Amino acid sequence: MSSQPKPGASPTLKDCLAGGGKMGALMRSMDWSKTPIGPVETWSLALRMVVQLLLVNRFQLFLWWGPQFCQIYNDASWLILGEKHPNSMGQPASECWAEIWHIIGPLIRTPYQGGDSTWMDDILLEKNRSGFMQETHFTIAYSPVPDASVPGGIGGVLGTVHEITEKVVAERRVMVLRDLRARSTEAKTVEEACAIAGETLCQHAKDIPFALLYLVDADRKRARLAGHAGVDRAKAESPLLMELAPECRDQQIWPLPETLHDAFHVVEDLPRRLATVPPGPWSDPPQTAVALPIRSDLANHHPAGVLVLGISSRLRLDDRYKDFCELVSSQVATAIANARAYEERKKRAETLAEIDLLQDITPGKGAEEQPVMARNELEQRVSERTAQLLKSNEQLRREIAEREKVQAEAIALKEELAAELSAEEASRESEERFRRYFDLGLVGMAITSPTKACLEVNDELCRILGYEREELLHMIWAEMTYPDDLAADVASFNRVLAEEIDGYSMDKRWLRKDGRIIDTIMAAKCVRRSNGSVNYFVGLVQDITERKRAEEEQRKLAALVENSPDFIGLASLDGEVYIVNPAGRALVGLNDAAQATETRVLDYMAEEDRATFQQQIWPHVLREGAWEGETRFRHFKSGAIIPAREHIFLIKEPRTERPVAMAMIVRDITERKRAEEALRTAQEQLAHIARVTTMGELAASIAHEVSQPLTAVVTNGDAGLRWLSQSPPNVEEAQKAMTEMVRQGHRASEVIARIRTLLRKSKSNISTVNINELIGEVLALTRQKAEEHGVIVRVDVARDTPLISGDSVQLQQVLTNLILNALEATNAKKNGAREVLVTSQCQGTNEVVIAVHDAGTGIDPQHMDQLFRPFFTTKETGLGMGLAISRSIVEAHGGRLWATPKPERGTTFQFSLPIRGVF
Amino acid sequence: MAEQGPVVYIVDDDSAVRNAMENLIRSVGLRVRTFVSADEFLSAGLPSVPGCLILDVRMPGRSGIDLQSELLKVGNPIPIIFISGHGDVPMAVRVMKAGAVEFLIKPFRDQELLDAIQQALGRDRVRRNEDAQVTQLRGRYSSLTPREREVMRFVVTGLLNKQIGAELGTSETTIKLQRGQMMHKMQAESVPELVRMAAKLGVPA
Repeated sequence: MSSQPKPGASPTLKDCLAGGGKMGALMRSMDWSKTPIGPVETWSLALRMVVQLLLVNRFQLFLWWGPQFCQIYNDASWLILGEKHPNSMGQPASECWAEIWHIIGPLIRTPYQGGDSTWMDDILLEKNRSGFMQETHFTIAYSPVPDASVPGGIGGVLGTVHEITEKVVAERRVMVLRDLRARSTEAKTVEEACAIAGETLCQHAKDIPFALLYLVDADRKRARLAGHAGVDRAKAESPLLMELAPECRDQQIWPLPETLHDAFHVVEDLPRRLATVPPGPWSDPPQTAVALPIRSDLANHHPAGVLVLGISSRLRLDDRYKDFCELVSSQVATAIANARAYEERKKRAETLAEIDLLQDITPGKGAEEQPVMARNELEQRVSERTAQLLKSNEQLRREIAEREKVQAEAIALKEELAAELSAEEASRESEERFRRYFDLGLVGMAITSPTKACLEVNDELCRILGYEREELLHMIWAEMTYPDDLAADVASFNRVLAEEIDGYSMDKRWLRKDGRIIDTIMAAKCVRRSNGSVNYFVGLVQDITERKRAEEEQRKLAALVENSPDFIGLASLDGEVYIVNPAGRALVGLNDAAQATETRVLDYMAEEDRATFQQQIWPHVLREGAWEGETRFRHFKSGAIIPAREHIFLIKEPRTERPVAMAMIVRDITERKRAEEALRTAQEQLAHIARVTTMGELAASIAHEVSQPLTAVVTNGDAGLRWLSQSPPNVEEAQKAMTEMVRQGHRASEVIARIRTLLRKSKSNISTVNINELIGEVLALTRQKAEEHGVIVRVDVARDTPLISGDSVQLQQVLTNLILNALEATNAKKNGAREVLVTSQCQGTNEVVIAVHDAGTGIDPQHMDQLFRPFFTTKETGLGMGLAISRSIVEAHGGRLWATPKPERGTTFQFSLPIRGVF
Repeated sequence: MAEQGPVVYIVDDDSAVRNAMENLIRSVGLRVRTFVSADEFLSAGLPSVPGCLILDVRMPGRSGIDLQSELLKVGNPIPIIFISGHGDVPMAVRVMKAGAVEFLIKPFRDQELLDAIQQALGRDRVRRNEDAQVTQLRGRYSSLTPREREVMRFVVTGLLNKQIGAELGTSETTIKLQRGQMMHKMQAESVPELVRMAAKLGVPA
């Protein structure tokens, strides 16, 4: 039952819509005469061919056919269409794509009118998908489809579509985060950090149509607007101050208290909530916003504020969008934290100044003028406060002293370094270059002391290790080293200290602050003083986690190819084979990988298919990028033919899309073919057995069918003899009798031929079948049976039922079965109408329904669902195969067979057959 | 004679068989009328000439056997020849008991059918003659006076004139006169002939 056409064979009417998954099924079910390209039987060869190729292709392909660009597409494409599908099948492209027709119309028309193929890299289309206008990005290539049967020589335009929405949006979001990060250290105050964040977000309206940044006051009672993007300050939707008290919740337009309390909040239906919604970059304003806490102050668990972000009206708020919003929020948090750290340092310095001032106040100064009570109280308060301040003063002094020490150390180091450098005639330029590398952050860099302390680290190293700069500056590298790698590192380090070597490099794992282990390549180089002792180390750390993962993936992919049970091969575009995996080599009898590299693609094809491959398949692959279908392979040793299903595609360079190689995935379908053949044989045998059984039931009927014409022959012969033996002989009457003899003789042989056909074990034989004639023939065979049962068979057939294509013998078998069942059901009943009605009827233009109604005993409802199961029978002598086989025959014809109880009494069995159905 | 000649009626739903039989029967110079169903036969007006019916056993609607019982019910004594596609002994017995002339299995020999037809027509002819005779006798009997009928009854029972006179309380001479009158009206040549007439008329002895 394979409807897979051989490559190169021109698709016939029947098989051009065969296969093709859901779209194939949809196309088969459609009445194409209602579309501009007309019914399938009028399609040109070129159209049929391209439709067939399109349906089985896994790439997203559209075909726009004829001057109205009637649209056809495959399974891969329907997601692009969203809710336009299924109306979009067969629809003129200008109707289907009305909203973007001004863009794609000219692109389709150009190749159609004989111009060059058109191409568009990243076109932005606003498309109605899943119920709203979405921002989508595509790469589309439009190429003409030649059709010799139309005047212009071009029948339509094939569109190869590649949707890149996700990629474009993801890249854009990375830009947003990068910009935020780049400016995260500029601010001197928290307010400034918020303002900068707002300015940055202004640049990225496509993902953040508007943003509001509220900072919570120290008393946590109010929030102030500190940053904004895409919306002005102090509008109804951007109040400068918002109360956070729970009782004010209902009056607030943004859910700040809730967000501060339990994180991420989605605010829907903005146009209803707000008098004016910030417009955003698209024609309609955002419908949704999200509110997120800004967690910059992890120490006390209170978010620093709330970030309200508008959600693009052209994008779905999916998990990725939400994650992106979280990342934006955390970038803002980082910027605020940086600014706050700066402010705190400044405040400490001011506090110190205040303490110094307080220490100047000497107790008793002017005390004589004060009342004693007040003076005592004041004295006590002053002494308490002084003690407090002195305590923190001392602590701060200690910290500052430490820091100054470290800074002094660093400055000293730098000075020494400068001195050394100048002493070694290194130019200032090279120091700057070093600095640039350091700041550029291509790799993680650190300057460490001989005591393993980190003296200076760059941003990239902070990122790699997951620590803040301040934290790193208080750590030694040994404590971050993954324990297993520490010994090797320290050993090399000690060799440097011992002046055996000046530097070393190693694969080294680190323990990040968050506990993750990270793979790096680490290189350390020492700078010595003039006396040879190590002054400091310069350490380079490169994060190779990604590379490791890529290598791992590569290894998995290679294993996949190696272990695949399918033939997988790679070849150059010239046909030189690079590799064939073990399963592939086993399939075609190649000894080893080396032998495979000496072969060419064509060597794998059976002789008979080589021309097809060269002239049709390969050009198709080059043109369309891929081909899928069945050909025959050849065993290298035995020369045996191997039926194969192939998927061939071009491997392209990611950036330029230039093809660089071809890949071929091949599955041996010998077993499948054999199984299909066995199944077909078994089904045919079973159907034959069922027919013989049915014929047994019909024996009396058949005897009658034969004896009627025989009686007529004999009797007419006798009559003829008598007319001739009269004197004078009555020749005229004798001739009449003999003419009738001949006629009846033919009738008898027709009956016999019909019986023989039914008994023959024949392969299915498809031809055009006239349903009403078929009913007539079956009634002739079953008439006698009906008379035996005393049942009248009435016929009510639709006039002009269209021809269907099918196997008339099999269909006769089905109808015979149904009629015999109906006769028996009627016979089982003692009284009432003894009548069976056979009808035929067209259902729309798609199918014809043949029904057999009996007024019999009806079917026990509990048997209803088992009726069509094999070996189910209620008859004492039944085999229980009749209905099961009938159903499989009808289904093989693309129809259905079912039973329904009649409301008054009895049962209706009916089957539908598709008109001009594909078999 | 042609209009008055016997007619063979054929009821068979299969036109080929029907036509073939018609052809055969016409070839021996008999008139034929054909019907496609029992109902068509029942509703047709038939001439009162000798005839017989060739009837297919199995037909859609009313079967041949149904038609036979229907004819018996309405008192139509037309002789019937059954033909059937297959031999079914119980069925054959049933129809023969109900008075059928013959039961033939298709395909049959022409002579068998023609013989059966001749037999059936002969039977019909005899029946028709007897029917005519009885009608005639009834006419004669109805012309008798009540006394002559009484005399006839006694004559048929075998009483002598004297005994009849005693029975009826009259003289032998009177009886002799009345007896002569009765014999003349009945056109009976002899007492045995009168006895046969009485039997046909069903006059009680």
